[in-house]
Amino acid sequence: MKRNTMQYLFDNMDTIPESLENIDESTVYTQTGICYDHIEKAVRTKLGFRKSKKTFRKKLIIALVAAALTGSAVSSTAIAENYSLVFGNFFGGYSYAATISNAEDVQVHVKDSNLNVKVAGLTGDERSVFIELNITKKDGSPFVDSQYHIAKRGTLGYERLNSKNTPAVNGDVKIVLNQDDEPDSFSGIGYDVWYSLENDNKTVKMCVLLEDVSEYPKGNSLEKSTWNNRTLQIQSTRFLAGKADKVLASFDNMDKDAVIRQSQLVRQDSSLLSYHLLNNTFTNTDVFYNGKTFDVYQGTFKAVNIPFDISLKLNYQVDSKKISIDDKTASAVFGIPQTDCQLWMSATRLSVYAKNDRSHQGEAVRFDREKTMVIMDDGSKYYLSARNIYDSSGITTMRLRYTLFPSEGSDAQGNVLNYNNNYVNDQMIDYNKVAEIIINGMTVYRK
Amino acid sequence: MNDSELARKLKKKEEKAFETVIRQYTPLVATIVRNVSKGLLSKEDIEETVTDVFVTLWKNTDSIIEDKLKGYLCRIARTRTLNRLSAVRNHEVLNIDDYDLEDDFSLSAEVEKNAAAAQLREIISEIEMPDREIIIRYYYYAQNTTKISEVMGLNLHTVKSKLQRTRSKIKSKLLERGYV
Repeated sequence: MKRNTMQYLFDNMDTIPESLENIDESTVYTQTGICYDHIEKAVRTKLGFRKSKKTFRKKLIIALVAAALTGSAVSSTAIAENYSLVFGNFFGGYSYAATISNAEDVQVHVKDSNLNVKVAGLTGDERSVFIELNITKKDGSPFVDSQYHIAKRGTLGYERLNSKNTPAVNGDVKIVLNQDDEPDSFSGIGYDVWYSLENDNKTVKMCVLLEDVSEYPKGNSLEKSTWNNRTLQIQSTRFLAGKADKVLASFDNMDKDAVIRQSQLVRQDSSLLSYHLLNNTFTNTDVFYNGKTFDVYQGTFKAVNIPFDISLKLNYQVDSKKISIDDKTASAVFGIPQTDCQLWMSATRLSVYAKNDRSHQGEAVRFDREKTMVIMDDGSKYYLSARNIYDSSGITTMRLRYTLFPSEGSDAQGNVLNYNNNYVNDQMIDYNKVAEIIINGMTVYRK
Repeated sequence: MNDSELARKLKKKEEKAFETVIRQYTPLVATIVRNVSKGLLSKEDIEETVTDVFVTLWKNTDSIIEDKLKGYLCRIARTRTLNRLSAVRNHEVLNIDDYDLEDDFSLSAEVEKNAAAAQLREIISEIEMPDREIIIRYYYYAQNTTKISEVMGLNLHTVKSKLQRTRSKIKSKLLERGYV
């Protein structure tokens, strides 16, 4: 049976009772230091409302000077009107050696008769599913000329999909998740879409990651899939292809200094980027991870039309591995008494569920990202990035993502950097090749 | 301009009305983002989230119901904040210190949820003060119990028990009206 909360009712209440409209606002509002002017400017920029060029040129120079001062490899010739050191979507590069199941049984319906759409891979666990599609033209021609080769990650679409047939539109990709029967209870599905050009630009590889981002999975069966009996519909109209004209800076790795330099470029120019992209007045730059270095390049992007409308029936076996941890180990690892601790490992996530002692309700679970990782058979390692949630029903839930680095970077104040909501380096792994799992410096699993 | 007029103008994509909405509601939206995020977002992230809220509003003016503009904004603010929190990685552990499982009860269908929400205003008006103010501050303005006790000059334990009792009352009243 569907569940709802008091919060939903309040959000959908028609109007606030009149007697409470007289509440002293100073006792309601929190001092956030947020200025209305700043917000209005940012909103107008994002929506493409008109803005003066003069202001942005000044910002551009400041940004370039700042970049030069931090020692990044920025050429002084970049200070010209048609260059902008801005930061688009950070393509951290996805890589995986995942357990991709055979997707031949997945029914694909394609509306556009000029396209072939094939599901190349399908994997996931009870709360996330990853789908890889290969799209080609029937006549075998490339989608875009050979100069354009850069993969462009879609803006992170962690919009919440409604449990009914409400589409979520992320730029030019629309995703609809339907179900044939009464849906299981969940409070939201997040999704991420990214694509790349392969095979001499004759193939567009599109990847969709769906995740149940419900915060409070209480009462849900741990072994019950969110995905069974659902039809996933993906509609696309176009994507952006990019080419690098000039590499402006290159970082060997995303160490903290590199990230800080990047953040300074990003934060000072984010509104500038939006303005110029919307008005098509500047070429823009992006960061591309080629497997070895992170290159900041100046490039151009253009839209490529690939209209398709496909639907997939999701009804697959949950592909994950369950590992139980004894109570003593779990309690030592997490710092508070835990029982019935289970790890569920899939290509996309490591989930941790445990019951905690109610007398410790509300206490924080220990989690040290530097000392939490999976080590593969070949010795390579992936750190685990967590969202740690407690709820009062006495269940600890942690959804851990595999990342290349222990942190996605932070600024001088220690605030985590967030590149326009794009993930820096979300990874997928082949969980069958995991040799060891270490949490908070303690081994909880060894093959 | 009241909310209904603003909503009507927003639906017609009038930029001036939109500016008014931003000016009027930036403090509320920023407060909700700050409160829902429980201080885990930096100022820059709060600004970006607040910006995203208004951008979302503009892109979805068709969904605005004229006398529900404020509630709609609050809902967008909550959703965007939760989305952003799920994208931010940090060393801190997120504790939902005020969440209570007893919040949850079942409403069987989408239609009934919306009908129940519409009834809520009437139900709240039947609740005596200061309980009424507490529940509004908690759910509508996303203030935590500590803050509520501070501004209302009540003992923290008192605020928590009144909150719990009021929730039960609301649930009972919804039950009487056949929504639970």
